[in-house]
Amino acid sequence: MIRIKQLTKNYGEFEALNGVDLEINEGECVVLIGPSGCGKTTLLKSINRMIEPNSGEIEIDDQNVNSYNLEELRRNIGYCIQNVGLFPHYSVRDNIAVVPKLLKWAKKDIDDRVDYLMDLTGLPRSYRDKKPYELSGGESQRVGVCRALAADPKILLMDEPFGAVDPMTRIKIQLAFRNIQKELKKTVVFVTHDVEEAILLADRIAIMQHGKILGYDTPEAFRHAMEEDFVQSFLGPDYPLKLLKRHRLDEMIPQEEESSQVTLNEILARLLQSPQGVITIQDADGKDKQLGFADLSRFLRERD
Amino acid sequence: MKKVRISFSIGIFLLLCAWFFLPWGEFKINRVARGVPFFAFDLLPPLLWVVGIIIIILVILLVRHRMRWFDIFISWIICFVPIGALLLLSTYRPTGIVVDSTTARTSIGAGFYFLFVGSMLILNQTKHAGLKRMIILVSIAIAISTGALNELGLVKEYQNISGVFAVELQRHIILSLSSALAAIFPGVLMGYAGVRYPKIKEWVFGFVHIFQVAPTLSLLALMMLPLATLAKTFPFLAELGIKGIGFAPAFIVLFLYSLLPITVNTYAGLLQTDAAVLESALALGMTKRQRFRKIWFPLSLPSIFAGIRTAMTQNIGNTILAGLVGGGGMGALIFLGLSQSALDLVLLGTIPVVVMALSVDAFFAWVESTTVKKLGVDYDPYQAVN
Repeated sequence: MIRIKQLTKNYGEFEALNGVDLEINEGECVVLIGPSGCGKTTLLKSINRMIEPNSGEIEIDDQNVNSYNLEELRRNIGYCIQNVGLFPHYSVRDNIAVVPKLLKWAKKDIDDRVDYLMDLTGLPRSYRDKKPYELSGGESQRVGVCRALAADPKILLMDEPFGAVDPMTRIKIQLAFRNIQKELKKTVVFVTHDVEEAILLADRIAIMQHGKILGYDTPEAFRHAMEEDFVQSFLGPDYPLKLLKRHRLDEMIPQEEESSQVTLNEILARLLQSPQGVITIQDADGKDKQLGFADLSRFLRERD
Repeated sequence: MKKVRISFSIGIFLLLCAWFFLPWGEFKINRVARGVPFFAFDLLPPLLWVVGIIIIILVILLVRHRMRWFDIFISWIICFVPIGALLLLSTYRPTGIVVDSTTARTSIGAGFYFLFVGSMLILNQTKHAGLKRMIILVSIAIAISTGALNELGLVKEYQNISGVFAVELQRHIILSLSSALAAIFPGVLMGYAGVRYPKIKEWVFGFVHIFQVAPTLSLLALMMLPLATLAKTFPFLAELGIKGIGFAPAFIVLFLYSLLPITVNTYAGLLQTDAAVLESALALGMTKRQRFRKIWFPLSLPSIFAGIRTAMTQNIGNTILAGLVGGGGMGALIFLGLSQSALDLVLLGTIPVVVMALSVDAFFAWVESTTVKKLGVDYDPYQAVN
C-alpha cells in the first residue's frame, strides 16, 4: 500500500506538485492522467525517490520511503518508461536479469525467472540472446516490462510505457499487460495521457492538473461526474462510449473461447448498423440471445 | 558498383600517367649527384612497352564487359607489375656513362609510385583483393631480402645505416606509443571530470587545447628550457634522463599532444550516452559505481577508443620532430637526409612512419569495430522505437 500525503515539489517558480494526497491499495492499478506538465511523472518518480519532493510524505507499507535504503527501495520497485532504456550492450536475458543479479540471486533462479517472464509477456525464448537493437519497438517494450517485473517487486511504476509503440502493437501489449496484472496483482502506478489506455487498465483513475489531483475514482464512477468540467475536458463527453471498451462481450453473455476478445464498443457498433437496433448473439451453449441498446445501458449501470 | 568505377578509373589514370609521362626513377652516379630521369620507354624493351598499353586497354574493356575474365586472368598479372618494375629499376644502367657500381644508384621516381598505387587501386575491388595486395607487398619484401634490389638508392642507404635504422625505428615506436599510452589514463580522467563537474569543464578543455594550438616545434623548444634548468639544479634528474634534450622533452610534448583527442572523445562518449538508459540504471537500483562501471563507461568505450586511435596515429607522425631535440626516431634519419640533400635517406625515414601510422590506425579500427559489435552500441534508440 502506498500513501502519499501533502506532497509538493517546486522547480523554481513552477509548482510541479501542489499538495497531493493519494492512497493506493495493495494490488490496485492506479492510472495518473492529465495534460503534460500536470505533475504526473513527478509524482511517479517521487515514489522511488528519483525525485526528492520539497515537502510531504510518501509511505510504503506504513513506512516512510526515506527510511529505506535508497538502492534497496528502487530494487524492490519495478520501473518501466516510454523509451524503455534497455541496456544496448546486454542481451535480452541480461537486461531482464539486472535486478535479480543486483540482489544476488542464484544463477538457476535467475534463468527460471527469465524464462517465466518471457513466457508471461509472450516473448519467444529464442530471444534470450538477442541484443536490444535486434528487437522491434513492441518487443523492446515487453522486455522492459519483464525487466521491471524481474525481482517480483510488489510495486510497479510505469511512465507511459506503451506510448511510443504503434497503435496495433499497443493494444496487444495493453491487453497482455492487463492479463498479467490480473494474474500477478501488483500495486501499479501507471502514467499516461491516453484516456482509452487508462480506462482499459485502471482499477482507479487519478485526474491531475497543475500539480493537484482533481478526481480519484473508479472508471465507472466518473460516468456519474460527467457534468463536472474537468471530467468533460479530460475524459471527453463521449466517456461512456470509451467505457464500453473496458468490457468484453463474455461479461454479458458467456462466450466460447475464440470470440471472447470482442469488446462491448464493437457490440455497440453492430447495434448501430442493425436496422431494428437489435442483434442476435450466440452464447456458449449455442442458444441465441437478443441484445439491444437497453441491455448495454443496463450492463453499465450494474457495474457502478 | 559506383565505388568500383571510381577506384578503378583513378587506378587506370595513374597507370597511364606512369606509362607515358612520369619518370620511373633517376640514375645517380653517387649519393648526392643530380640524377638522370628515365621513363617507361627507356626502361622497357619497345615490344613490352606496347604490350603494356594493350594490356591497359584490355583491362578497360574487360572491366566493362567481362568482369569475370578480368578477375581470373589480368588481375593476377597486375599483382606482379610493381615488383617487375622494381627489378627493372634496380638493374637499369644508362648507356654511355661510366659508372662506379659501389656509389651509383637508382632513386625511385614518381612513375613507380603511380604504378604502385594504381595497381593497388585496380585490384581493390576484385576477388581475393587482400591476397593480391599481399602478393605485391610480400614479393617486394622477398626481393629486398635476397638482395635483388641492391642497386636501388633506398636499399643502399639502408645498408649503410642498417644498425642505426633498427635502433631509431625502435625508439620511434617506443616514444610514440609510450607517450600516447601514458596519456590514456589522465585523458579519460579529464574527460570524465568535464562531464562530472561542468564548472571545471572550461578549464580542462582550455588546458588540453593550449597544446594543440601551440606549434609542436615551439612547444619542444619551450620544454627544453625548464627541463635544462631542472637538470642543472637537481643533477640526479639528469642521471635519470630528464634533461633539456633527448627523450624527456619529446616524451612530454607528445604526451601533452595526446591528451586532447582522448579527453574530448571521452567527454563526448560519456555525454552522448542515451539518457533513458542511464535513467533506467538509476531506477533499477544500481549504485553510482555500478552505473558507471557496468553501463556508462562501457557504452562510452567506442568513442574513447576513437580518441586513443587518433592520439596514437597523430603521435607516430609527430614523433618525427623528436629528431630535432635529440629524442631520436625516424626524424633523426629524415633531418640527416635533408641536411645532406640525400633524398633517398629522407624517404627511408618517411616510409616506415607512413606504414606504422597506417597499421596502427588499421589495428585500432579493428579494435573499435569489435568493441562496437560486442557492446551493440550501433543500436539506434530512434530506430528501435517505431
